Amino acid sequence: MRNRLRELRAERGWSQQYLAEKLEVSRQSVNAIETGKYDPSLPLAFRISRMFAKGIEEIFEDGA
Amino acid sequence: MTISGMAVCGMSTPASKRYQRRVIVTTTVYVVVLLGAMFLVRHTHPHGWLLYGIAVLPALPLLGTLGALGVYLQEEKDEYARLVTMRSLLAGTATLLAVLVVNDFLRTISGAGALPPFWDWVIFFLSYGLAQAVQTMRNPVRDDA
Repeated sequence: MRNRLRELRAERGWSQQYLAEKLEVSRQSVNAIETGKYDPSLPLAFRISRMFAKGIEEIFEDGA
Repeated sequence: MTISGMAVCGMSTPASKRYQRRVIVTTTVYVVVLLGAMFLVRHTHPHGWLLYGIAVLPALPLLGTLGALGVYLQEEKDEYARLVTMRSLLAGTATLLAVLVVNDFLRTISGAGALPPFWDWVIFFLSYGLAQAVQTMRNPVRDDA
């Protein structure tokens, strides 16, 4: 699943470490999501969406 | 530190730190119990059920290490770290089963010998660690990100 996480994070000047701490996950998790190697669960996707104050569908694309 | 004491998911999370502390304890207990069991067998020459009981004692802390893995999976809140560990456990289990079943056929049909003692433990944790290393390499974290 494609996503705009890296782009949105760059817009805000946040590091992966900062975002990881805010989401209470490891930096490797943030990296895996950004590079499309891992699709987050729905609860984590909601946490990410709240962090960026955007809807889930504005961050993640299902590619369908 | 035994081979089972390596970082459980390749990441530093609160749950993985607790896992490592538990493995340090089980490993320490293992060394003490193993030395004690060897001393008892060598100097008291037990036999029968007592000998069996003493022989099984060193295995118990190692079973505790497997239990620590189960507790870790229960406690880990980082879902990606949990996935990495689950994949690594699956790789370790599949590799061990593959080696054992091939060895079983070699023993049954060609009369080859059994694997030396404790190789099952080594095979499991080596393949577990290798699977973890491969996953870490496939998800490199850059310093500037």
